[in-house]
Amino acid sequence: MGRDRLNPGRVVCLSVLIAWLFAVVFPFVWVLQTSTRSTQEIFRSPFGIPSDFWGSLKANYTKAWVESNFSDYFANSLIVVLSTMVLLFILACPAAYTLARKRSRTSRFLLIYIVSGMMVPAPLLLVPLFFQYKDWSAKLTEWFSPMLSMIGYENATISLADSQPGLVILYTALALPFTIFVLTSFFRTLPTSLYEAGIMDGCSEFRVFWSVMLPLARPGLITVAIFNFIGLWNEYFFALVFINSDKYKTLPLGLASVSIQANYRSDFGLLFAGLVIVLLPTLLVYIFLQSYLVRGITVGALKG
Amino acid sequence: MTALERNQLRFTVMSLVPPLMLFTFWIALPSAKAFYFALTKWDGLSEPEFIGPGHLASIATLQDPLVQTAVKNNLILMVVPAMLILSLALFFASVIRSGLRGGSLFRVTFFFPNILSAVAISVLWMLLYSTSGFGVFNNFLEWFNQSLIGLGARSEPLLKVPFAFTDSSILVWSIVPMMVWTATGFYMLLFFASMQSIPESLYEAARVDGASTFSQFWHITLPMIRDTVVTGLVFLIIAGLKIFDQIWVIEQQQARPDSNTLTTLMYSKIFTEYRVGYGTAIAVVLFLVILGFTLATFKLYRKEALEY
Amino acid sequence: MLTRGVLIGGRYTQRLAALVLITTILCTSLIAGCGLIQQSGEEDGIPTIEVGVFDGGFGLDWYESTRDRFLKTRQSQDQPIRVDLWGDPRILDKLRPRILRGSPPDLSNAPLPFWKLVTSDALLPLDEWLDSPADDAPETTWRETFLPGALSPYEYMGQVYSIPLVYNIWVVWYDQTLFEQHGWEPPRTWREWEELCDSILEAGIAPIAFQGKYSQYAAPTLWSTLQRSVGVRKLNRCQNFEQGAFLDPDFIQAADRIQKFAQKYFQEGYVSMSHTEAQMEFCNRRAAMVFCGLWLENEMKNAFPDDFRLGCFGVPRIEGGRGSPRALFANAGESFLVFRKGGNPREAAQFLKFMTTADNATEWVRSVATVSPIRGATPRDEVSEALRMALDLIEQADYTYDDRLTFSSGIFPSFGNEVMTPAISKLLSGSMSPEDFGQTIEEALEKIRNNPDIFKPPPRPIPRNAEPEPST
Repeated sequence: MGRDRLNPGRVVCLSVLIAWLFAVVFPFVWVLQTSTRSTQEIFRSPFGIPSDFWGSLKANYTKAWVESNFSDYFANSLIVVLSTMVLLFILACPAAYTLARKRSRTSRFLLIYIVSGMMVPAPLLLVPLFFQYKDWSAKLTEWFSPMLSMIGYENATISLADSQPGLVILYTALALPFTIFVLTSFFRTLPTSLYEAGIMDGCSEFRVFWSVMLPLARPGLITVAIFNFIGLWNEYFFALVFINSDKYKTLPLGLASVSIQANYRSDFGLLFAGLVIVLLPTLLVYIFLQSYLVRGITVGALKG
Repeated sequence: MTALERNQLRFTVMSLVPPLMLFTFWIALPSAKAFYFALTKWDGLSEPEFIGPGHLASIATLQDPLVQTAVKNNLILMVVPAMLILSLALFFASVIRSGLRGGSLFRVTFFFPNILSAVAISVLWMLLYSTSGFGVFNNFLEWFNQSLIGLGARSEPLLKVPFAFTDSSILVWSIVPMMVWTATGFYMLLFFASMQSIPESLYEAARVDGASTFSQFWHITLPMIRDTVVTGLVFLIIAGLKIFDQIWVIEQQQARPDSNTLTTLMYSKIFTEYRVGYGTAIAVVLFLVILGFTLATFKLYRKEALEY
Repeated sequence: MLTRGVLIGGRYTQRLAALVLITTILCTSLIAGCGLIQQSGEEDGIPTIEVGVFDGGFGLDWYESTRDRFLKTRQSQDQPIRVDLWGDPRILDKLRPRILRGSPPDLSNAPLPFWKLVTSDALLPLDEWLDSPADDAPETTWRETFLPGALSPYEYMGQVYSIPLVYNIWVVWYDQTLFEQHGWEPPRTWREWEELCDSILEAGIAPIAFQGKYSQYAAPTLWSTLQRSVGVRKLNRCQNFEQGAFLDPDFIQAADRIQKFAQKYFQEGYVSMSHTEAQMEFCNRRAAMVFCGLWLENEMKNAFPDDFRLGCFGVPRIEGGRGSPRALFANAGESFLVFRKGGNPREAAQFLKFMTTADNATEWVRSVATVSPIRGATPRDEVSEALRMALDLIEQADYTYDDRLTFSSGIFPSFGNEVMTPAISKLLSGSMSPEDFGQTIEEALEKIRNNPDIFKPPPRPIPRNAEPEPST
């Protein structure tokens, strides 16, 4: 099978690939182009040149970004996901490091315990966590109400549901098994000799972890960070149940409710623009970071 | 205990206790509680009432016609996309591996849809499928009809246009292309990476023996990456079980009997009908099935290394 | 540079302390800013109520102006209050988890499973306020200001749990201008209706626009057909989910009649149309008639062409039918219930009382072109021509009937969505025979009848002025 031999078989294969390439690229180009047309023009035909390019472009995007609150949804997603990533790494890295280094039976048990969490599907957790948040919110309100009254919140309740911290903790817990799984296997590849050198030099355990092992694990950290980021950025199921107010909605939630409103009001220019707002950042980030993603999959594939 | 050991112990404890606590209270204990709730009759507003495995039995024996439809839909989404995705991914991976020019371009582009949110993909395809003026597929069907008439092949339109791709009764089938479009790139990359570990010498030997391309694929490539393919198959099957976002978004966040999957049915039982015990039982059944599939894969993994 | 670590005190503790401090600061700011602390019921000593409005065809304008009037009245009485009013067409999505979580708003008119909430004691009974003097007519009680029958759908064990703002009927809408142009007349019999539809078809217009995505829009017409054929008793039996009611050959025949009508006269492509899309087709005169409640005029007010003259007629008499042709499918709607677990349910009840004073009710009628359940609140000379025609129908009606199975506020939650609506949809498209249609509903109801856990409200008597029982 030479590289450059063109026989009918290869031509067919190549055409299929090119067809798929078109199938992947076309929808995005279409959405982008259509978002510049006005709703009436959109209704008339799927393709076409907008008659008032800047006018309809501005109309659609202002409606999406400002009036339909996509800016808020974007900000919320950013806040929630970044906070989750911070909390996640604070919790996961030291744990993965410890579990990787210790080969005792306890540590192996704990690792299995945490990693088995990867098998728990979201629907199973829905009801217990929903009512758990309800009960805990009631208890927290009870404990903290004197303190809250002191700082001026008289009739306030503490609510884990419909709040960003509640969602952040939830996301962190969900991401923990996968992250610890990947990081543990990553830390296991680091040579123990470095660790021993650090200890002999008089470093505390934390110091060795922070200054020596962590920097070495950076490629693995980046990859697992990217995969987590993608998963959390796109998360819909739990956000749907736990976030009810518009002001805390994350991007997937916001896009879904805008699509319902747009259908209701037949305002599709808005929807196309909103979709672009959601797709574009992901595309840009992808262009820059795709090598990490591909590498992550490759390494994962080879390992098992 | 030396100072060093004390320091180590402190670090060990502090590094493990917080994540373990978070995991236990947010994942482990709730999962266990789910099993309890599944055994109750509960409307979420008053107290749960223990009734034993009635719900689980009813679901497992498909008593409820809604469960029947949901299971049927899930089966479609477990089997059909998996077969298409794996075949296409294998095909693409082999073609690119055999040294196609521009291979990395294909790899990078094909993978992109996989990182988008299911919501965004659903909205995108909802627009493509639309029966209003801008629906690309319907316009294509219309064009196809008109061309046939124009060419004189027919006097009447062949296909029924506009075709409601997102109608509840066939929604599940319309989701299949969506899943294939989304996931093929990922599995292509996965298989491609796996294929890299196959030594070229095997192929050379086969070529010397006069084996065709397909034969090489079937007898060398496929067996060598068998484990990866099996893993992929199980992932896809489980994904077909857990699917929620796409159906929910296209049905405008409502559960419709024809297009229900187990997850959307669960959601509607809990939040619309206030049958929390029954809904949780659906989730438990779902979990057990996933568990079953996961354990089954371990059996399917080949134990001995291949000698070559 | 690796240095010797210190175990107790010194740099290690300093760093730890700093970390704890930063975390606490972060946490407090997160908590305060991002939803962890939520207020309800009272803020700065002023009672606060939250009102969640279903933003359907009626819009929010009247609600907002009524709220403003309420705030002013309370201010003048030196009893300040805060009202947080918001609306959403998808209010159900927001409210459902909140209700389960135990933090619902104070007031809402969302189409919730009323009976479930009543029997779980989640709602505040309103009799205390109903028996108190009306705000604007202290010589009568609040209860007495309502038209007869307006409150009875919301009664349970002798107590009333919800207050309607709207009196609604389902009619067939048409454009008088279009009809005049073609020399068409509203039909007085079913045969005339079919002939009219045939003429409309010949003119290249679809006779009926239909909201295919929401097949429940055909339910009132189906029930009217049954009533026109054989009177209201069989309908009542169906509504009381009596054994075999849906297997009755008369019901099947009504279903068959509707099925044939739909297959011949519903607009092509209706299956995937949302309610606004189908109604747009009607406004754009691509279809000549549409089934809808009284909110149509308001919902589509920006879509009617200038020369459009909206008119309506009831389902026509069926030749040889026993049912009164004047009877109407009518229900009270937009009803607000008060949650016990809201922040301030008592103040919410006061607001509800205010909303239904005669002045506010008349404002409501003016703003959304519908009929009020408050006596005397619907001024004939101030409403649109279309609404006057509807008022005529209401005044001429000898009795009314409705459907408590199909809509989402029906007596069995999800029954409408899971059984009725898909069955109706299949009946209309022809993929289910009328016999199977009746069978499907009967079987589903049989399950409910046999399930002791599902609350079944008491059977409703036939309306007064209903046709006498046939002698056979």
